[in-house]
Amino acid sequence: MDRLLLLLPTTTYRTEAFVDAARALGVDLVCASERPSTLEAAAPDHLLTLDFDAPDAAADAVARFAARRPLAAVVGVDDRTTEAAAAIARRLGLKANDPTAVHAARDKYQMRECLAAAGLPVPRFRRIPLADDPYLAARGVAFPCVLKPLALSASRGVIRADNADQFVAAFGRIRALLARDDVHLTGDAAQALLAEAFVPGLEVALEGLLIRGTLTTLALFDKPDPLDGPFFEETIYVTPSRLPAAVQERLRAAGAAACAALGLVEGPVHAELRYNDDGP
Amino acid sequence: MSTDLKTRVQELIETMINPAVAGHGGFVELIDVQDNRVYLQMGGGCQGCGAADVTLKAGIERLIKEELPEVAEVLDTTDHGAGTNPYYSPGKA
Repeated sequence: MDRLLLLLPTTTYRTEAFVDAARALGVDLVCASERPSTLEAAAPDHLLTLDFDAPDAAADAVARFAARRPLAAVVGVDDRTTEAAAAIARRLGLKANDPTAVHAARDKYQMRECLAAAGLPVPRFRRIPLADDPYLAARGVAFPCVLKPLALSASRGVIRADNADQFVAAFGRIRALLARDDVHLTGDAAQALLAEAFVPGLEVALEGLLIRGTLTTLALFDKPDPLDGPFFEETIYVTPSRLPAAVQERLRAAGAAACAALGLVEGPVHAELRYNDDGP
Repeated sequence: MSTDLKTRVQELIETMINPAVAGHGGFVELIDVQDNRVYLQMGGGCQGCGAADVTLKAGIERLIKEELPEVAEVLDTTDHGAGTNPYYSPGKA
């Protein structure tokens, strides 16, 4: 029986779905969280504690485990575990993305740099250290702009600013958010934010699967509620997409090009794109 | 047979599971066993805990099935939203 390692943060709501899927596949399941399970001592071969914020240390720990309990695959659940999962898979010689590519996919500033280097359309963007004076930083951007943390999901901390006053307020709000105990960011993601030009237009979510570098789009979701800010909370997703077939094809192609630019080759993809008169 | 299985599940909870989850201020209560399906309720630090699903699926259910292979499924009937003191705070997103 193949053995699968699932990285499950204690903050995820997806445990049941992934565990049920593993059961349906008939794999032997090992679950790892960032905090100890109360039953870890009773089930040491099935419950692990790993530091998801230290991918190399997590890989070391899993390598020791796998020496006696070989693993066939590693799956990271939620944004927080992707880099640890990639490091572990790389260490064990399992199918996975390059950890550098995974890091670029998670860091919004590095992502913009990769996409721009590949000639893909991205808004003007700047990385701004949190230690900078926001009043001075506001002079270096054009409005309207959007400020956002480098590596959070679910639109947390994503704020539109139409002028300098709003920029300063948003900056302070993001700075406070990143200082919270329940926000687990390290490195540059904890020390800087991204400011980029606001992109008008409709927004879609692309769910796909990469297999040996080829992206198959599983679903394209329209987001019919306008997402113009100042906050971008998501409300309704609609699929199948109602967009014209030609637009859908351009969005799928843009998603595939972005994956290639980042160096991603394997695994599930969730991408969010905007579309307007200039295209994706 | 269901009564006998229920008794054996109860004993397993009392001797193996609850002593372990007590370390995080939690407890597990057996509600019923029907058609070889075990219905549990989690309380204390387990109720609303962010690790509750992992504890149940990868811990409690595995232990019960290893000891009692005739158990088909372990189901959680807990209202986790009503938990007042979860050991690990669950995520908001």
